[in-house]
Amino acid sequence: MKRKWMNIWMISCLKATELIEKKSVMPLSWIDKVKLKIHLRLCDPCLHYEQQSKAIDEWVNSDNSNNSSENIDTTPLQEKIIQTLPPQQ
Amino acid sequence: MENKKDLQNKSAIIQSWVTEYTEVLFKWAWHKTSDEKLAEDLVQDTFLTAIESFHTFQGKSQPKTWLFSILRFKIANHYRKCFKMPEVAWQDELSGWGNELIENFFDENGHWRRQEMPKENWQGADWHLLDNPEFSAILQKCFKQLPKHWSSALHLKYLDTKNCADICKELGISTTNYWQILHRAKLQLRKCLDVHWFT
Repeated sequence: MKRKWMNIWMISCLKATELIEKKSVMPLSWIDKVKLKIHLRLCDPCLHYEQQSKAIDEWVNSDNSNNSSENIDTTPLQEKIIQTLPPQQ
Repeated sequence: MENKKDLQNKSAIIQSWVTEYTEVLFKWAWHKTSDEKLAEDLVQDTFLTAIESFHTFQGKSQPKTWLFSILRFKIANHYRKCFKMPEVAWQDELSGWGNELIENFFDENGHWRRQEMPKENWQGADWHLLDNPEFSAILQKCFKQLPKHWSSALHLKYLDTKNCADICKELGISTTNYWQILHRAKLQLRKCLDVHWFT
């Protein structure tokens, strides 16, 4: 009986990683919150997954684009755009 | 009806914006789309929209902020269209490639397979890493390997200012499917970065 009660709170790693992603877009139910917390206390790989998932979110969300295209000269693009602007009357 | 002087002012202002902001807008668009030609088109479109909507600007915010909000909307639109592409149904991708991914990473009990376990925290994994152009290139490469629906969904999570329920409504999917797609995308991305950078 105690074992069955304890099992209610145990989730798989697959479920834990799903909850980590779900949490980033919507609030979890309190039961899911507790289950995830318990799992992360017991499971190092999932704890690492959470850290890494958050890092990826930051990179995707980042506005730091200075090095994405450092070698590209945008002068031709500027000129092209200016040419397509409606002429001054 | 705009008079001649207004039109000349508007043209001069927009031209000065083109000179001042093209580079920073382009770099951001390129960062968000990994596609140079697409980024150029989006930036060009942004300025055309700015001309058409100039009367709504009214100096209420900084020009840069306003131009970025137009560009952001256009990039989000691009990803919404990508998601709705008919070539491969997102449902097939989720149940096909998605399920295969799950089986690769987890056993029948939902435990990590030994060789797939995230072994340790990534060292130096903070936002500064994006300053390293080699890392940026790896991140873009890993993104390109994702199915188009998944990378679109992941980008929209941050680009679209709407909440999850509204994003899902526009894409025509349930919130469950939405986070399932994000989950599968994140599993694949994480693995790709682990293999190509952190290990």
